[in-house]
Amino acid sequence: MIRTVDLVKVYRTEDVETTALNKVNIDIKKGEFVSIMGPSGCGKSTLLNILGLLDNPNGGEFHFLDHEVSKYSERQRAQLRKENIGFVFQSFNLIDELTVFENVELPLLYLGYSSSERKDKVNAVLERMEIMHRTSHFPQQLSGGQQQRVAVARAIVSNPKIILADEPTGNLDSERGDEVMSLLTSLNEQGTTIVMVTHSPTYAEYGNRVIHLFDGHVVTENIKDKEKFHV
Amino acid sequence: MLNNYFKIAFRNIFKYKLHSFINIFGLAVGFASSIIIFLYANCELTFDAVHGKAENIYQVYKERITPAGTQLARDTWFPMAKTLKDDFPGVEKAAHYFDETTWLIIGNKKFEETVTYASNELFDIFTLEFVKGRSAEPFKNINSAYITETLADKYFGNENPIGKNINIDYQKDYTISGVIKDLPANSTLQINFLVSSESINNVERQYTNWSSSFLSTYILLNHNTSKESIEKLFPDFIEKTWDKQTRESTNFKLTPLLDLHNEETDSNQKAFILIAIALGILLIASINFVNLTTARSIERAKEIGLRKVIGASKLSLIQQFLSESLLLVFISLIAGLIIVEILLPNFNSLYNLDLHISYLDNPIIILQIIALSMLIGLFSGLYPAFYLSKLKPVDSLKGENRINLRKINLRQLLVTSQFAISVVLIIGTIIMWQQINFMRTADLNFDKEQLVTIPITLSDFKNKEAAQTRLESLKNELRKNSNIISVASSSHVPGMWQDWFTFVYPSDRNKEERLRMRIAVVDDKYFETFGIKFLKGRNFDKNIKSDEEGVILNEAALKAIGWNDVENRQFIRGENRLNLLGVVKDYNYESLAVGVEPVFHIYRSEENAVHNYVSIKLASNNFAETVEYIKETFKELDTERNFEFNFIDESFARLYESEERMASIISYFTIIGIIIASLGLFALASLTVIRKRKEIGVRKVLGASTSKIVFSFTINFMKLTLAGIFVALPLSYYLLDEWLNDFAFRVALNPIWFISGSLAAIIISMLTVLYQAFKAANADPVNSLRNE
Repeated sequence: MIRTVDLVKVYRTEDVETTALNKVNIDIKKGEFVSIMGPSGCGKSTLLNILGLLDNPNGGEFHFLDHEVSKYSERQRAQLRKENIGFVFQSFNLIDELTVFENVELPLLYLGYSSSERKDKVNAVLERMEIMHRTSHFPQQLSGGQQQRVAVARAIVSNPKIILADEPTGNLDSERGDEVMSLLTSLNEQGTTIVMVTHSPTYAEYGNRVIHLFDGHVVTENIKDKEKFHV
Repeated sequence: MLNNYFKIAFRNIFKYKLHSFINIFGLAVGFASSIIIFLYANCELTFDAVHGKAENIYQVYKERITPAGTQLARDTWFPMAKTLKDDFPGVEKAAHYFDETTWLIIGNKKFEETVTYASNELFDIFTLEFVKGRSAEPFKNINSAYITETLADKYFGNENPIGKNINIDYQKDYTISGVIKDLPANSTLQINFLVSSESINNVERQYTNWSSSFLSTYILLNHNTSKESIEKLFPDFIEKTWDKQTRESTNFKLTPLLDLHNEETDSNQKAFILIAIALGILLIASINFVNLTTARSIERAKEIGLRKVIGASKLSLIQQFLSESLLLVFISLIAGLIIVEILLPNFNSLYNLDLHISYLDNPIIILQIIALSMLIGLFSGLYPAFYLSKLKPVDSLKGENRINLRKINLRQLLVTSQFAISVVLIIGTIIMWQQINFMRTADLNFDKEQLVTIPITLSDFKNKEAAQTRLESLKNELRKNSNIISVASSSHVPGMWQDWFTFVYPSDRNKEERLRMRIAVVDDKYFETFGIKFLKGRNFDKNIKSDEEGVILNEAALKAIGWNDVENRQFIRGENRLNLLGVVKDYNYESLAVGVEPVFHIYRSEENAVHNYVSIKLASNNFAETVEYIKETFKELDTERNFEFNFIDESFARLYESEERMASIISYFTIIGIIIASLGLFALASLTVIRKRKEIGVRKVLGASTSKIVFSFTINFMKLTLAGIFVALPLSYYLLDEWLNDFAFRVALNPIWFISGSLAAIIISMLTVLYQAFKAANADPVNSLRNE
């Protein structure tokens, strides 16, 4: 589903050059739950942004669903992105001016669903996230855990093939964090591929596989459940 | 989708109340100002367009070629209209008219009114709408009269005016045959009371009168006839009507009716100045919009990034921000129209105008206003839309703003141009008022103080025989008062000067060298009463009989002829020989906007019927008492005229009403422009404070004093102000020098005015920014750093 070959990303400012990713090779199959770990500045977020088609690499190959996308334009990436990827962020990134319902509805608007389809889908996913009673509230009126449930709802409302989660538990206490993790696990069990960046070794263990990054390199791949994919 | 955009837009408007207010208020006031200005300019630019056939209507005028230059005059002769109609192919209709201010007697009441005497085809050329009494041949009955709705209402109230009798000046009776709709203020033809020019006394004599010109003549050409083809025929016509010599010295020409008002008053220039100011104000308000929207991009960045992550394309983001701009502009437009409805009545009464938005009569104006606001919406929305949609999702989600550096330059450029516009407006206002003040206080080369003029002529008396003795005794009574220094009679007085012209030539030259000069008839006290100084020769003397054939010139006339002395000089005027008696200093008889032309003064004793005014010079003490005395004396006259008097200095002040009106309109709009610009600056400064909160916090922690922080904060805005001034100075110098050149007497541009205009801008911008700077400098650094 996702395969990178010698992926390179370099940030340049006027006189400093920072290599964020240095020949990264990873291969993620459909249905996997992959955790990415590593210290601050190791390139985790950069990798996730490239995997999420938010940014282009400077070198190497990037195959996404059988497309070689490393040279795609912003417009092409946006098209692939909205059809296939759902995002969950550490800081939730809900739009303050929109209600819970409207936030979750947003991806469907950009995908061009009709109003009745949107209503059905949003209600279904909000029900599943157990947040139906808050549909007309604004994000500031919700607790952190509730906000992250809305964010997850928004990420999955369009049935993406893959969910990219950037420290989804970072801003939550452990109880809410556990809640979000079990949500992601159950989504994975229903077939959604999940790639998650995290600092927490405990939550990383929820994945089938943990990739450790250090200074832009993949240092280890801890394959916990590999046989599942070789049956 | 649009729904979603508007939802966000509305919620943002309410969330950022101060900025929304500044945006909407600025744009609304900008819209209101420009709509009012556009209405005014439209009224001026469509002058006479009310007449349906205007495009084919022309006024006939003449140019006299004299050694002193070409002189233009629009008065024509009685038989002219008929001749044009009969002898010129392509002239479909021709009509003439002249106005006379006289007495209308209705029953036992009398009113002073302007009466228009016109020929039949006036109705065919101009658009006169009948309210009552429509007639195919309006002057079939020679004594028919037509009045406007306003006049009918004034005289007859609810009664039907048709069939009522009105007498003009106790001489001639007319019957009202119809009521016509009032003509709008932007029509050259203005009618109160309209009668046939065939009804004047001894009209037969006028049929061949090619010597006295006192009417305006208009023609309607058919569609295939050009103005030039008619003008080509004039030289032969002149020769046939007068002589070969007149042909050489005279051109007849046609002014298209639609150009007439502009040629007379330079109204287009005024309209364009005002339109430029309206556009300037709109530009200032739009720049506020652009600056506030882009400066707030940090707050919107998260939303933009998120929308992109979810799948928004750049185009859809541009659409979103454009529809937000359009929504805001539309709200502002509605607010602006409400402001217009509230302010227009005041504006109209202040400037004696009749402007209104006729939404129902003229749906096009609605489209124009909507188009204007769409344009403003696009203009001010496009840049922010492109700017915001360009933000990278990764950066904007992190709250970083990477494409800032170059863009800030654009914002600085915009603020600079706001300052430039404001400074040009301030300097322009200062200089306009300086010029008006100069004209009002300039030395007119006569003594205008304590001078009272009473308009009174022999025709103001019912009993014409007794009139002369009564007027004489009035003057004698006045002269008895020790506080009255002198009393004069004359046909003209400075400040209310009428256009009378005559042709003369020096007796030692050919008739071909004749000059067209202004002429005024005065008595022997005129120059003394007005304090006009003699340069050469002597005044008229009532004891010298031959002074009836004497002339006193002004300097300009002497110069036009090219003489240096007055001894043994004679003029030929018509059949008469006139002796040059003296030359007076050029005195200003009209607004200083126009120059002093050659004036030919001739003498008639004070009893003569030609005199229209009695002028009285008062001593400076017991002023009010003397005026009261004059009033009492006047009562004994037993005239039809009510006592009315003018102070000459006030009549002169009235000459500058149109300039004052213009300057005061511009002053108001300048103030509005500056307020909008300051509001924008205020908001921009407050956003800069937010952006620099961390920097200021760090500086304070490191020991910077409040004054240092305030200084470093304000210095940036000061640079922009100075850049704006730098642009504005040459621009305003050029524009105002051009404007002043239209005045015959103008002020020299004084650097002080430019300096004080610039200082005003600096002070205003300092005051606006300082508040924010102090707020920022006094903030607790701990809080500002924690927020980061």
